[in-house]
Amino acid sequence: MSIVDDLEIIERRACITGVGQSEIGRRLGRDPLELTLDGCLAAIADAGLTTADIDGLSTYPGPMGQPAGFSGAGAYEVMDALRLHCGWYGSGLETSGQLGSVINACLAVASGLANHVLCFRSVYEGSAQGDKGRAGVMPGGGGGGGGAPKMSGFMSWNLVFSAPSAAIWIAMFAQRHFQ
Amino acid sequence: MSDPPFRILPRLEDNTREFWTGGAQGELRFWRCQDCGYYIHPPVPMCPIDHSKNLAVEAVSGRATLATYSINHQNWMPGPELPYVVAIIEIVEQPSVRLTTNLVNCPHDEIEIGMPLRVTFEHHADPGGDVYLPLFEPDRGA
Repeated sequence: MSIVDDLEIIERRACITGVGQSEIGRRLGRDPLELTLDGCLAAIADAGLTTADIDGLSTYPGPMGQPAGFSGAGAYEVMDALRLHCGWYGSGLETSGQLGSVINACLAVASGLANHVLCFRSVYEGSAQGDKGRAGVMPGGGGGGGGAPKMSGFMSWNLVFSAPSAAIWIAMFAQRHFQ
Repeated sequence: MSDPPFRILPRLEDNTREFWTGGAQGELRFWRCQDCGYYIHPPVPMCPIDHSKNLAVEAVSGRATLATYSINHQNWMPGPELPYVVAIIEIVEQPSVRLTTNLVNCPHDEIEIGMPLRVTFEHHADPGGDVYLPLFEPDRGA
């Protein structure tokens, strides 16, 4: 009897209950978050669940600006867009590849941290190449246009208003809390 | 009007362009669900409430209340004259829509959480496309 037989196989304490997929193609011209949400909602429906049932979330690789299109959405974006209330969630590039998020979800379910974990992986590199070909998804590629430096995504809502530091963001909540 | 301070500007993208350029017409604009009326900000391509994709950009009144603020004295990078006020505001139409912004035209000793505000736009000419940053000032008529 090998040692493996004595170990509990944690995958057997979790199961895949639903799968979903968005539209797939090059140059779709659709928002990568929208495609991600399409796939997520399809998986939730396939499992016979609603967004209210989801109490965990796991994704690979999480938000990444570069290379362009490598990540279609991060955990926070999807939890916010679908108003998920997750007691456990996570994303990470440094896991066992694309399926690392599923392994992590199995661990979460097996250990009782969550019951229904939404797992997703989305890419839009085909569309992100835009009209610039492959150079459009290489680090430093795309963008341009001249003028002032530009910011997009999460940081654009803060940095534009000269609030680059978490010290400022936290100070505002402390201000309200202590008044 | 004096030149605006140095700012890192928002990149104009399909779903944020109306927000950053509405000031050209003096309008503060948000995406809004056309089925349930929920204002969606920051933009996402699906209503978080009813999952509808029937969304459109609409102007709001520009009136808001001060949720909180911080008076910044630190010289992080080129920007407004120190000290300046970083604020979080809530629009009157839907307080769950909050913006991080700057509170301007207000003596610092008159700042009060909950005070009524109105939008004022800071115009930045740029070859990538002009932007109008929504800043807020006291709404003394409120």
